[in-house]
Amino acid sequence: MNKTATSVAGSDDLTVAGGNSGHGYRHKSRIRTNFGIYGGVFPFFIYALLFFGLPTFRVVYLAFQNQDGGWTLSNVRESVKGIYLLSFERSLELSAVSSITGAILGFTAAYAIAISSRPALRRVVQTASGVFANTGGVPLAFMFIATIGTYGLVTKALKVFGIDLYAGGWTLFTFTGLVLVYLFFQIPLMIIVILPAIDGLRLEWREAAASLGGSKWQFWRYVAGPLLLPPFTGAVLLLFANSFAAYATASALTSGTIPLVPLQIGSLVSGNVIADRANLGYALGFGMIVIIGIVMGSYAYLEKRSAKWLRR
Amino acid sequence: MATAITAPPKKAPKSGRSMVLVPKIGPGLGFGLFVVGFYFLMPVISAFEFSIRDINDTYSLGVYGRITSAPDFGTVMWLTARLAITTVLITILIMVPTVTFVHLKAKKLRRLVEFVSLLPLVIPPVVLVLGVLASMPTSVKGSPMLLAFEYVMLAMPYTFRALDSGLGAVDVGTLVDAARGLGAPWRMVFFRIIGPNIQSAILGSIFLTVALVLGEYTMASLMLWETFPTWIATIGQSEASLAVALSIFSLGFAWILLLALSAAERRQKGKKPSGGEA
Amino acid sequence: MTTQTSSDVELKALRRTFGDVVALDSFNLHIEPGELISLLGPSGCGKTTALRMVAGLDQPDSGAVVVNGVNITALPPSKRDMGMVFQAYSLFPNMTARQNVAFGLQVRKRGKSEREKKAQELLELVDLIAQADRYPHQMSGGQQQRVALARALAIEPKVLLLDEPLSALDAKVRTQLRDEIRRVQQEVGITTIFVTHDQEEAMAISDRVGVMNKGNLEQLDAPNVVYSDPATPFVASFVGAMNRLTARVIDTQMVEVLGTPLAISNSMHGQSVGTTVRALVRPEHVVFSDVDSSGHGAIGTIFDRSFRGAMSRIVVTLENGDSVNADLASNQVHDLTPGRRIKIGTSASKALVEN
Repeated sequence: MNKTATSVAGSDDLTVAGGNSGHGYRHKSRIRTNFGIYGGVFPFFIYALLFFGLPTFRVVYLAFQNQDGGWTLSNVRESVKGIYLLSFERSLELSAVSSITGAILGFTAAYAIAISSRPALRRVVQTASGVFANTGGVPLAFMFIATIGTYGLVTKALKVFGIDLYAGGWTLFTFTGLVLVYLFFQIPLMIIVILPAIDGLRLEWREAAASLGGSKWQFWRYVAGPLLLPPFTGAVLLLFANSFAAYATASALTSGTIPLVPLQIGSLVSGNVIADRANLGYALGFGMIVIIGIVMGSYAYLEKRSAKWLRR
Repeated sequence: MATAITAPPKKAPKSGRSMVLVPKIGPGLGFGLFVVGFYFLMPVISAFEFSIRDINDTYSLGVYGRITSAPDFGTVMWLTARLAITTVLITILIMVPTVTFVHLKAKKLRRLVEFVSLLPLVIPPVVLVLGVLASMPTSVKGSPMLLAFEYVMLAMPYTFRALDSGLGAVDVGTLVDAARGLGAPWRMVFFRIIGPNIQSAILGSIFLTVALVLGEYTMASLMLWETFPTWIATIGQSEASLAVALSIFSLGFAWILLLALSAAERRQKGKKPSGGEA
Repeated sequence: MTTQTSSDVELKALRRTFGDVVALDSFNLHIEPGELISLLGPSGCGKTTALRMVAGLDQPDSGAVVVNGVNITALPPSKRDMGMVFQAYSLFPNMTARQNVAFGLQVRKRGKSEREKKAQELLELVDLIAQADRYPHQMSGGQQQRVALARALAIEPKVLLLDEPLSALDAKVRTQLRDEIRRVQQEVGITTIFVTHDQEEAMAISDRVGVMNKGNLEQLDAPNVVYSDPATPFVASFVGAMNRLTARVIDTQMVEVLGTPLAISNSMHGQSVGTTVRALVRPEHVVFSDVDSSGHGAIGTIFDRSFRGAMSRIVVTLENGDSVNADLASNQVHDLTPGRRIKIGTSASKALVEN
């Protein structure tokens, strides 16, 4: 350990006495540290830039390009006219209805399993929620066709009771049919997202409220309600974005009968390009990014707010 | 719609706790729960019934035997498997060092990395595929592995969160400092200290990623590759029963993956140091 | 502060089982108006269960809770007019301190000015007016408990119930706050039940202490009585420190411990003379003398001496193998060096004995 004195004396750095580090160690490691802090995440950022940033910027860029390569707003203007405007409206409608309905039903289900005394029930619903939240596309469409399609099991069963689902000209491939199918993944997603918030309601609050003279209704009005409102709203937003972005299920069920923005983009990608509106698809994509961006941004903000209060 | 999040397990209730104000499932809530359960169960049952129903209205499980002999079964499964493996490998290669690094050495960058990993939630796959087709060179687009590279991005919000909470649950920084202070070389630190603690998190990420790859339809279909999900759609146009059988199969497999995921999560929770009174 | 009439509380033969476990076994307790009673005991002794029954948060299997002569056992908690302070986390996180305190009045549909006035009054009483518009997550544990106390008192309850309110706090805050609680309680004159596992806490602030064990009340007395005249070995060792020493029965109600004959203070069940038992001796009752001095005592070797501020602890190993803890004023232990042979006895005149 008598190397220490000489290394300290000889170094022009702030080497701490002790240890057998040579006097150049500190200097070298400072460079290494600076590179180190950013170096380690370099691959990550490069990768994200290449396979995510690049395609995204390309879409936004092309949304404002006309075919000769100049800047233009015509794509964006076209994207909110006629059939495309209708598609935005329909997509927003579908997302609003499926997210609010899914949120209410999902909240009820989540509340029920949160207070249930049977851990088995909770575990089953959790696993099922994980599976069903990720179900979509053709499998989901076929399942519903088999259930309430023209020759579906439930359709036939209801006929036995004298109920004809198709009497009024309704089919599974209408707006309401689509909502019904979308609920299959919206409700589980709601359960997954809202369950931690409901679990965050402490029994102490209920007991304190009661001992202070509050009824169950008053507890919900003054305590539980206000506490659950931010996470509930956030969850609605998440469901909204989820529904708005959905492509596979819509594509499997409607095949063009209901105009939705993801489907419009899909058909433009598949080559149904209208000659002088080649970059229209990118404008539509840009529109989707803006809408979902706003929704997810609000969701993130609400998440932060509710985390403060419901922290366990 | 590839939202592979799972709900967290609940803490065990305190024993002997008072009963008076604990909410119970009343008849109204119970009925509602039953209706919801019915809504989810019926499609699965109906689909299963449809798949095993013959033209003559007799039942047989034969359709499930025909899965392996379906046209292109081998090619499709092989492609899907390669995609899954590639996606998993790239994810681990990129995410594990990055998240570890961010927890150990660059704590200030954690928020930024988290933000970037959440960005895929804002760009729908249908828009992403639009961008990919417009920006990638033709040679790259000629390989199906491009899908895998994109799937890594789609899975990123979930894989980051899984690894991040895995590393966060055990204070890796302190453990590493302690090990290094005792003189352990980096390799040992990685394999004996960091590794085992994030094993479950890595496993969880793998399951999430595989589930995503097996269910992703949008990008595969618009880039004209025949993976398992797009293949089901193709089959659906000619043989409905087979397509439904494949759908049931895909559902069942997802269920197994998620069970494996919760088992891995439970193992991870078990490693959490228990605070509070002894 | 409006003076309220203090309430009389009586717990009659309360019994509660959770499955196989008997949490309370025919528990009886009468609390005088304006009194602060502590229920003291280890976890699982039933003290919290008893408290929650008074609050109405738990129902007894049998027995009654009577307040001012009225049997309130069947009343739900919201109708009982009790003020309860929980161990932690009971403040409503979405409300400021002020709003939390006013909550009880809000659910009773009192007017806005009345609520504001009362909240102000109580926040001043607990000395927290500066934090009045902060949220719980912005306050320390001690501050939160003060708000909880103010909130409970705002409704002018008949009884104040505190369920280990200080257990989750730092030591220093704990001592400060317990004196606060006592001050407030005396100022308001409210009948109070205070549940704790910390015997020092209970002794410091109570009019009477009820020591509980396994669902039973073992002793209910003023703090100094519980300390100096413990009724059972459990109370003796739970309250204050105790030596458990080998002793010999030398007469019907007499035992010899540390070479000294003492009266047995609890009744023995037919233990014949000569039996070896265990006697309980307080560390501060151990006396030291030279090996060759006259008088009662047992010979041993000083094993350890540790300085603890005003008092020091000496550990002596006796010839029979027992280890004896002795507490002495620090200025008296200079000659008591480890390794020295010494004679120790006890200044007590009686001792509790166990088999």
